[in-house]
Amino acid sequence: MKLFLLRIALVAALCGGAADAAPTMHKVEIDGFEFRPPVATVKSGDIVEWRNADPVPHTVTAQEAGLDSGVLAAGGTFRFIAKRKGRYEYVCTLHSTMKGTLVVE
Amino acid sequence: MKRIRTVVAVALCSAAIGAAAQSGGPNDAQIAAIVVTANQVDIDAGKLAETKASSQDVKAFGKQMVTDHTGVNKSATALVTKLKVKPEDNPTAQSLKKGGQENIAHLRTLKGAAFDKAYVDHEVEYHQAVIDAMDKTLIPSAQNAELKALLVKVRPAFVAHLDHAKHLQASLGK
Repeated sequence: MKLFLLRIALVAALCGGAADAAPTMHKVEIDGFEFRPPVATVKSGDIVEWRNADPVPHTVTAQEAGLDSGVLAAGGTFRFIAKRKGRYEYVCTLHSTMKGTLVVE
Repeated sequence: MKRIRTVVAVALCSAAIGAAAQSGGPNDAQIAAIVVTANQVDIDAGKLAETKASSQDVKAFGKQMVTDHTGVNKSATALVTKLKVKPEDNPTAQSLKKGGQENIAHLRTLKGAAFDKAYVDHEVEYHQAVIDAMDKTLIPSAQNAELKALLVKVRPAFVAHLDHAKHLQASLGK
């Protein structure tokens, strides 16, 4: 019995731990040549997904964050696991007017 | 060169004049034709720049114009097909086409740095003229909400291209 309870406690602890550590998915829409939201604040380990809703290709690029989608076609998505903490200004290298910020806490 | 610039400006301004003359401005079918023609004119010039420009930056810009304006036209064509709007030829679209053909003919006579400068100078003027026409005539005149929304959505493409072209223009001038 003791062993059974210990196993339950262990499983619960593991599940609880896993739930706490589960990464959150954050979505950024590229629409009208803007990153929406313009500032995405995430926790280290979270996933950020950019979706290109424009009819033209874009990129999501911040070299210092190791972030580079390459050419992201119209309708395409790009996922990035934000590991390095910091505040990163990213751009679309094809359209210099497009700027966004990724904050990794 | 000045003559070509004038043709482009006159073509796009005629949309504004038309809007003032006719109380409602161009209708949606005419706007569709103007948008498709305006994009096609820049695609044609971009294709020429891809092959004829001497600067790699200008070649890359030309390639991007082809990609972006093809994307915008694809999106515009899909919308007008969905809305069952048949683009209606009109004097503004015709003037744009004629101005584009004259620009291409002029660019074909140039090479090297002279070609790069003429192409980029024209791109600056052209994108500024299109933005003005969108703001003063095309967006305010569009009746269908989805057509208006598409114009608003693609307007930043012209702003980004203008910004890019101005940077190129400045770098070529150095």
